[in-house]
Amino acid sequence: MFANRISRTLHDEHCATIALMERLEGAITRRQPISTTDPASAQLLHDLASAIEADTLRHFDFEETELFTLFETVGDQLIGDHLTEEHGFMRPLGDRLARLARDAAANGFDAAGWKEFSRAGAEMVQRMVVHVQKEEMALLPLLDQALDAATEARLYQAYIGTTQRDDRPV
Amino acid sequence: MTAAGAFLGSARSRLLPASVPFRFFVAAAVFHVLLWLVLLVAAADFPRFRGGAGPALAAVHLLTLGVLTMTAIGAAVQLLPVATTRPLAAVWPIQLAFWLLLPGAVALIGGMLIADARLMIGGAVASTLGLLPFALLLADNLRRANSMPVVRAYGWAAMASLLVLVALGVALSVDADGGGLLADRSGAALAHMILGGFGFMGMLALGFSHVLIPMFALSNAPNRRIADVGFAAAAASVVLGVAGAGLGHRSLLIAACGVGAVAVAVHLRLMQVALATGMRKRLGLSFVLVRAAWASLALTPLLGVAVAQGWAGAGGPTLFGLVALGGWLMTFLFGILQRIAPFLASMHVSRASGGPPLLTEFGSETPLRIHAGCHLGALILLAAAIVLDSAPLAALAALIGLAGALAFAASILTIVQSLAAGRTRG
Repeated sequence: MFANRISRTLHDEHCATIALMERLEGAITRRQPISTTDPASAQLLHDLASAIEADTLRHFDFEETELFTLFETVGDQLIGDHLTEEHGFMRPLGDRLARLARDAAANGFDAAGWKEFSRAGAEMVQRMVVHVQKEEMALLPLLDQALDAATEARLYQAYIGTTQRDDRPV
Repeated sequence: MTAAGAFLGSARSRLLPASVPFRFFVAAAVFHVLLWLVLLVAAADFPRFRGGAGPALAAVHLLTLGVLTMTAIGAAVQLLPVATTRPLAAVWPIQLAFWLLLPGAVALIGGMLIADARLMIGGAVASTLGLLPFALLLADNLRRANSMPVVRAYGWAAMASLLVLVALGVALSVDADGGGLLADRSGAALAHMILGGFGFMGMLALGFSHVLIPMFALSNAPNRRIADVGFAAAAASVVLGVAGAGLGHRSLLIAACGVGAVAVAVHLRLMQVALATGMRKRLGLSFVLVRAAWASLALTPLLGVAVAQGWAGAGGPTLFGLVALGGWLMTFLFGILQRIAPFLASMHVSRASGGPPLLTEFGSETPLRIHAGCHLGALILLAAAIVLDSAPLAALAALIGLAGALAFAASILTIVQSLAAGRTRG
């Protein structure tokens, strides 16, 4: 397990994200649209929209503005560039999926809406799983080794601050 | 650059041209189809196969040299540099290896099929020359690596096994016409099988599992100390088994099974922990095959003891070979290959609509479902054919296996078409 709080926090968020992606994957493998009157399905749509709009985008922003810039200053641009490129593909996809989830939570799914949601969901699951794989195998171990205590404390406070400002569960 | 940057960088900068690993994968898919076809021809002899040139021996080598070795080389040359964060010294030796190994394997297996000693010797020599550049590149990469010590240990053990394996293989080919080169031909053949199945292929499969399974399951790397114990037991088991086969000592063979059982127990425990603690629980069709392979692996040492003690009946030795080579290694490699082939391809192509492709854009899962069902069904039927000494059951197994092999080849072909086009349809 990771020694510093930044790595641990990001790891915990990865766990929550993958658990959510697995719930989404379980739902979209059905041929029929999920019923939004079913409490579990309604909860999934709510959790999905909330997590993408708050946690995922905050997670991406923190990595890009704080972590990747830090690596760049010590001459390690490659990891940040690669992960930022993946964020770039997932941001608009996440926006679309969150919008579809909110619309469906309010109005339910028709056949076309379910098809669009399933496609966007399948793409999000695949991209997110591969992305988390890379961060778990490369980014978090690097953070664990590279951060001194003062930097770790500063970054942790900065990240926790954004969490508290958002006032949403991680 | 930091180690992590190097690791991510290695995913792209150390990426081999797609044609390098995929030529091995395509060859393996073709040999896979031929394997079941030849097994259909050998259905009458296979249930009581004890060695000797003919279609049954050809079928065994279509599996070991054709399917397993080709898949292992294609995967290892791409995965090892990423795992060790050290690039291969050069790409051309791998291309040379392929162009020596492919005709060598065809000649060797053809020679076995028609019982032509000269063709077998020529094929064995060409195959050896083909495996040599691979072994040298593997050794060079392992020598320069300073990460993933468990994977490196397994890699060294695999390479050492490969050297003795090919030496014994050439000797067996030269001795095929009863030239008297080998004092104990059946012992040498058993040592050759142990080195191939458990030494070379087994060590590679166990070693890469320490990277691949946690990566797929999104879990931490296996506990280092326990993994070291597993490696020591696995290596000791191979040494004991080869010594027992070479010296004709049944007690050593039984000891090899006992130590092998420890290695298997440790390995399966590590893998179980990786899956249980991993974030990813929905691991899909590939892990149906991987779990079936692990079940076969668990059976292997038990069956080995039964065979050595004479408790497994007349078909025991053949059944042991089927469970180890087919049930464990072939099933495991197909489970992994169906996962890494689209992943590797995704790094070489883009989507028609732009951006990196999705893995699902490399073809439908239907052929893979057909393959998995046929593969497992064929192996179960083949085991029943051996136990019952039934040629019709063996033929039916071969037909079902052939259907699965064609489905798997279709899936590889779809990926190759995307590679050739440079993009997916997404």
